[in-house]
Amino acid sequence: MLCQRCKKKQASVHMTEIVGEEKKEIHLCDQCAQEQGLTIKGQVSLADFLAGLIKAPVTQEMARLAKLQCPVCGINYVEFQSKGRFGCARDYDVFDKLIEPLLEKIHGATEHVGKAPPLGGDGVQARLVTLRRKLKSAVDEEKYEEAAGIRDEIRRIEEGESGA
Amino acid sequence: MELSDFGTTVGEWLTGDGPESDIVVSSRIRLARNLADRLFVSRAAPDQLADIESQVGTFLRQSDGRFGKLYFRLADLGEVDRYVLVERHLISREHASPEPYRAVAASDDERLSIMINEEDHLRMQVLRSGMRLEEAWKEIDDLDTKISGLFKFAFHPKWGYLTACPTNVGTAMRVSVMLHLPALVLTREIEKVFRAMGKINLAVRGLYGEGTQAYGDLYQISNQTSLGKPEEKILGNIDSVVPGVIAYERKARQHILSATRVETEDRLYRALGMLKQARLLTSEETMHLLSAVRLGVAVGTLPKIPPQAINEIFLLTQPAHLQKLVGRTLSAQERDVERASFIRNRLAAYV
Repeated sequence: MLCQRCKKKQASVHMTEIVGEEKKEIHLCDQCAQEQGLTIKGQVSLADFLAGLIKAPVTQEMARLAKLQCPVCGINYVEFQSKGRFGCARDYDVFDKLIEPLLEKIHGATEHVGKAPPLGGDGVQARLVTLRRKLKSAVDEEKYEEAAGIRDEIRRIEEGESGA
Repeated sequence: MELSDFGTTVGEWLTGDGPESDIVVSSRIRLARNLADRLFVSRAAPDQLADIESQVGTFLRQSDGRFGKLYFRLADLGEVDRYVLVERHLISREHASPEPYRAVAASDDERLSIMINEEDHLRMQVLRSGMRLEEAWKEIDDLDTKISGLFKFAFHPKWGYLTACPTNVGTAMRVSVMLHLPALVLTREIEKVFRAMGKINLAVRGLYGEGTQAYGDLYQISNQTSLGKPEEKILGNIDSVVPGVIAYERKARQHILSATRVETEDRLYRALGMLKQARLLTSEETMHLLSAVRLGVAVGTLPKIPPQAINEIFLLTQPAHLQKLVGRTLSAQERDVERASFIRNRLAAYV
C-alpha cells in the first residue's frame, strides 16, 4: 500500500487512531512518518531489553540508588558495572536493592542456604542460614506446618535484629 | 618437595589412580573467601594487601604444618617458575603476575593449595585424582573451618560468603570434574553432552582450546551457580550427573572398537608410533597424540603404559616445565626438540 502523504513510497508505518466512536487509519512511509514527528516504536531485541533491565535503572528509585556510593570503599554502582567487581563487603548492603535482581539473574536465587563460618558475630547469622536451609527442606518435603513455624522464627530473629 | 622438584615430579592429582580414572582425570573444589573488615583485592592499597599476605602466610606456614615448604610469593619467582605453577594448576594465569602481594601455599602432594590476593583474599583449592568429590569436599571443608577459626570471613546472613564478583557469592564454591572423552569426540556425540549439561545448569568446557574443539579431548564439567543451594547439593548435582557421562563415553569406546575396529586401532598405534619416533613435537600435537595413547592403554589395545607415566609426559612437556627441566629458556623449536626427546626417553621404558 502506498504512503498516504507522498504517495511515492510503500507505507511501513501504520497507525490506527480511535477518538470516541471515530476510527482513523493512517499509513505512511518511514520518511513521512519521521517528518510528521511520529515516534516509531522500533523493534527491541531481547538482548537489548535485558541489558536495559540490568544497566539502565528505569524507576526514579533505581536512579537514586544508582548514585549511591559506598562509605567504606568509595565505589559507586556505575563503577561496579564497568569493572564487574565489588570493592568491599559493605557494597552488598549499600547496593542491596540493585544486587538482588542481579543475583536472581545469575544464580536463579537470592538467599544463601549453605555453610556459615563458625565465628559469625553472635552466631545469629549462622542460625539464620541454618533456619533457611531447614525451611527449604520442609517446603520440599511438603511439611507446611513445620515450614510455617520455621518461617515465623526467621521473622522473629530478623525483626529482633533490625530492632536492636 | 621443593620448587626444584617440579621439573621431574607430578602432584597427587596426576598419579592416575582414584575411582573411574580411565575417564575421570581429576576432581576439584575451589572456595573463595574474603577477610571481613578489609577492602577487596581490587580496591585495597598494596600495603594493606601485603599485610593480609603476611598474616595469612605466617599462619599457613607456621600453624599448619602442611604448607611449610611450598609457600611462594609470586614476585620472588622468575617467569618460568610462575608458569610452572600455572601448568600444575596451583595458580591461575591471573595470579602468575609478579605483584608483591600475591602468594600461594601448597601442601607437599599438591592436593591442597591456597592463592592469597588473587581476585579474592583467599582462594582455596583441593585437587584429587579420579572421581572423588566427597573426599575432596571433606578436606577443603576442614581447611576452610580451620582458617575461619583464626580469621573472620566476610559473610552476609542473606547472601553468604561475600566475594569480589557476584557470580561467586553464597557458597563461593566451584566444583569441577575433568574428564577424558576421546570416543565421544570421535563419534561426534560430544555436542550432546554439552547440551545435556547446559539443560541442568552445568558448564562444560574444553580444558585447552576453544569451544567443543578441545585439544587432548579433556573436558571440564562445573557448576555455574553458587547461591541458593547448600554445598552438598551442588556437589550432589555433579556427582549424580558424571556417572551418566562416564557410561556414555564407555559405550562410545566399545562402539569404535567394534564398528570401526581396524581404523581405531590404526589411529591408536600411529599415535604411539609418532610419540616413540618423532624428532619435533609441538605442545598441541603432543596433546593430540597423548589422548589417543591414553585411550589405547585404557581400552587394552596398546601395551600397558602406567597412567602416571602418561600424565608425567602430559605435564612435564608443557612449555614452562620443559624449560625448568632443561634449565634454561628455549626457543619454540628447541622446545619441540626437547619435548620429542623427553617423550622418546620416557616411553622407552615401556614400549
